[in-house]
Amino acid sequence: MTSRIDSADVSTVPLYELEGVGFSAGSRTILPGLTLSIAPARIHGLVGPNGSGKSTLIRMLARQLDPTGGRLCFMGQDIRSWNPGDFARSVAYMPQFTPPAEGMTVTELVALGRFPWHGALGRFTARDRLKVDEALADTGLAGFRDRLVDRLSGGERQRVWLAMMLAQDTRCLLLDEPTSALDVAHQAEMLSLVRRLSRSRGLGAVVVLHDINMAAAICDDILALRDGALMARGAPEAIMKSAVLEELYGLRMGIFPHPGTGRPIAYVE
Amino acid sequence: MADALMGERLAESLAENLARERRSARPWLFWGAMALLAAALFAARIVLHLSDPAFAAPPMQDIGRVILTHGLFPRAAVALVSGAALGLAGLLLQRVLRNPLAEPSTLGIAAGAQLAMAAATIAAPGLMAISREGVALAGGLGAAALILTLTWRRGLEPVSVVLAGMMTALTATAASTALILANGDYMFSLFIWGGGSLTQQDWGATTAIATRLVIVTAAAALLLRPLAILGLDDAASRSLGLAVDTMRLMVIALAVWLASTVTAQVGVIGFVGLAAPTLAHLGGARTLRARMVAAPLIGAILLWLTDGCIQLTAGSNGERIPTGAATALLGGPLLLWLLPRIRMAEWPSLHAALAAGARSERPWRLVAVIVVACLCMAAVGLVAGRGPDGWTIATGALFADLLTWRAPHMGIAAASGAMLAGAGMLLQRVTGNPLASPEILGVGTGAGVGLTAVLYLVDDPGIGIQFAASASGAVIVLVLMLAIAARSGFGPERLLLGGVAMGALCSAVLTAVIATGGVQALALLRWISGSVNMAAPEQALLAGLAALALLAPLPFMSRWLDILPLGAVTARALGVPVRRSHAALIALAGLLTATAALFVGPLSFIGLIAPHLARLIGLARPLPCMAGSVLIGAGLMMLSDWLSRMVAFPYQLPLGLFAALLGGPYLIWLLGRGRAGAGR
Repeated sequence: MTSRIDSADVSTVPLYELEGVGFSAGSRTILPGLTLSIAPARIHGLVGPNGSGKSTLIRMLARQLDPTGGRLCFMGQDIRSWNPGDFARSVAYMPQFTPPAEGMTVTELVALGRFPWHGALGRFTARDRLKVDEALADTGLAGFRDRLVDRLSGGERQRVWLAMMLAQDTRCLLLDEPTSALDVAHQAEMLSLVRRLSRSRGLGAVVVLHDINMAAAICDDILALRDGALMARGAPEAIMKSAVLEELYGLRMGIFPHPGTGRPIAYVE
Repeated sequence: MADALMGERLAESLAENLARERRSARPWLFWGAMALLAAALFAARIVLHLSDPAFAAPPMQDIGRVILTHGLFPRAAVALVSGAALGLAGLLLQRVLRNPLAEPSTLGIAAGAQLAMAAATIAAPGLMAISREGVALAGGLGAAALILTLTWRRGLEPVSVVLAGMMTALTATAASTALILANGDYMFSLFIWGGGSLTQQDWGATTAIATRLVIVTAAAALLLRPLAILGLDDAASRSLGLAVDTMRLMVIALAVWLASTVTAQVGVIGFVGLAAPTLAHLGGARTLRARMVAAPLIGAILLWLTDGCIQLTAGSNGERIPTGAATALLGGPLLLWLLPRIRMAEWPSLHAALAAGARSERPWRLVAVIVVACLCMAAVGLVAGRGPDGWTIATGALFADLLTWRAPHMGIAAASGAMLAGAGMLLQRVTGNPLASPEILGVGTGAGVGLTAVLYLVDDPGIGIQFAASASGAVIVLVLMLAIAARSGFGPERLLLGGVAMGALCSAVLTAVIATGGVQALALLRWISGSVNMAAPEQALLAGLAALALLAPLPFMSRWLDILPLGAVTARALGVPVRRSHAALIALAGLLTATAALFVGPLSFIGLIAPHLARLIGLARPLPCMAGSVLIGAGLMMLSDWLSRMVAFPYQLPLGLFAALLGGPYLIWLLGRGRAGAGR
């Protein structure tokens, strides 16, 4: 708790700072060395073709993988020096494949998000209960409280995991392809939920996304990775250009404005 | 999950590297060298025999020649053909069941054949005289048929098949051991035979196995194309126009025939059927055709080499260590070393969960019901019994008399059952794997190896030393197992494969020791069967105190136990100290298992069954599930204890064995019942 930074600093200190952060497995180098920083209270989209290192990067940000080179700081402190509890109170992470939660109800799973606050032996206080209720309400799950998680649909289950992350009450959300198992309607619903929550709670978020149009629709800042290097970065308008996308995906791409909103939409030529 | 995937990917790339580097001439060189080594050992044995002064003089010369032509040569030949036969049988079974763990011994085929032969030896010796092989084949086919029937509805899903196979194997082994124990000393030779002795008097076994091998090889060669297609999934095979079921049954029947012939001729030889195809694969035999050549060859070399080593260490005065036990000694470590390096990508996923019951609304009420049931069981066990003149209800003075005798029994049974169930629950939650249990992971037999060591090293060790030794054995095995499994994020495949290897390895040590027939051997045999005949009040007190002390920390770990089944990634994301919590829980599970195993032996299945039952009746949350498992474990063990005293009155069956005989079939049935009432 001592490492918590008071609210005046939150808007200025970057969430993450990477200096030449690299990762290699055996003889294969996945990320040669990335240098970038990630600002708080904004939504960052990680995009790029398969094998570009998006998932590896987000796993390192979540401290699930240790970088094999470079320096990775979270809130101005080396990520390794955070103790597990403090880190889990600051960063919530949803893996690409969420595990089956056999025999657990929605409320029980979401309540696990309070673990970093009460620990292995601490009491589950009224404040914990309040946070769980808030998370359920914010994700529209209030009516699902006592349902079994493994009987829910894919979209609902994804919302439950998001609710668990909210109950964790962190300043940063990391989502690894949160929409990969969902149909178009649920993808849009999930992502707009992430955007709304990030805005209303002032959360920073890093989201790995496959669909460049989805990324452009919800993100403030897009990081385009290719072969483990940051190829382009900027606001959606700056990335959604045929030249940039062609270089990113190695494919001729075109752009046209959305008939309703005028947002740029990418398509394969 | 993602962690497991990552591990998988790393393992894959590692295996790719390994395979690439071996695709050159190296495997040929390696196995060629192994074959040369085996041949050299054999040559040394022949030279040793020819230079033996005992056979130098004229009258003994003929005997020397007879030993050479009817003993040594056939022995080498039988090792070669048996190894090849088992390698081929293993390859065929793995292929048609699409199951990397399938082989004659994990599927219970060998144990089924062994049980049939043990039963026939006792009940119908005439049958054995007519056709040993027929009896063995009947047993093997029986086991295979049982497993297939039970798992057919689940589409022969690999995890169910292996579990049903292991249950069948362990239950059959338990039954064979019971038969041996019940029939006294003269069955001891059967135990040695059970370990797979390659000693030969003529060429009969060699020709019998060789002809079967030739026939099955020819059949398999004819079926090469359909077999290649069967490696895909069923839907794909069907759409390619293959009669999947007929084909599968045919190949299984062939493999069983081959394997039970080997069992009938030389006894149970584990591991070769598992190791040979795996080694062939690792050696770079990619196509089915290449593997069909490589697996039998590697099997033959493995067994010949092992047998050469056995003969070398035994000298000329006849060995007592069965070769079948020794193959596990060589093959077990090999498999454990290979495990993290095996490529799993083409293997079917074993992640499917087992049937779980509908979740109970009022778990604590259920727990209360179990408490009452346990108390009733204890009361029945203490009061009711069979006397010389039928059933009696003990009261008054008789009750007081019997209490001093019955109470320690019940106490030990209840405490051990509770501890095993607790350990099983811990392991299942830590690994997120419904199959993890002290029995399946070889922890119980590990305790046995520790016990063996101390029995040999210390004269008349006290119970404290025995406990320390078996506890360290159990914890070492457990840590080793989980270290291997952790490399792949606790993937069920590796954990199971490792458990099979470890269990076979430890049992091999025990079998080898028991086969020496010393004082310690009898003590160990009694321990394996889990006999509490000598239960004294002090022991009961000790068991009870140990159970209380070791189970007391469990409630404080319930939050960990809630999160850990979700996997290491989620646990880490929530700030659970993954390594530390794993270490603590695993150490506790090891201690619980070792303590219980000290009293009731390694095979009981209570550690697997009790948590299953608790889940099945709807205890899903850690705390009620914990309480339910422990109580069910205690109750089941008390039931086994009471029944083991009543069933064959006035004789008393060993408790651990009886619990296994009670639990094994139940679990097999449970598997066969499918996933009625499951969530998805």
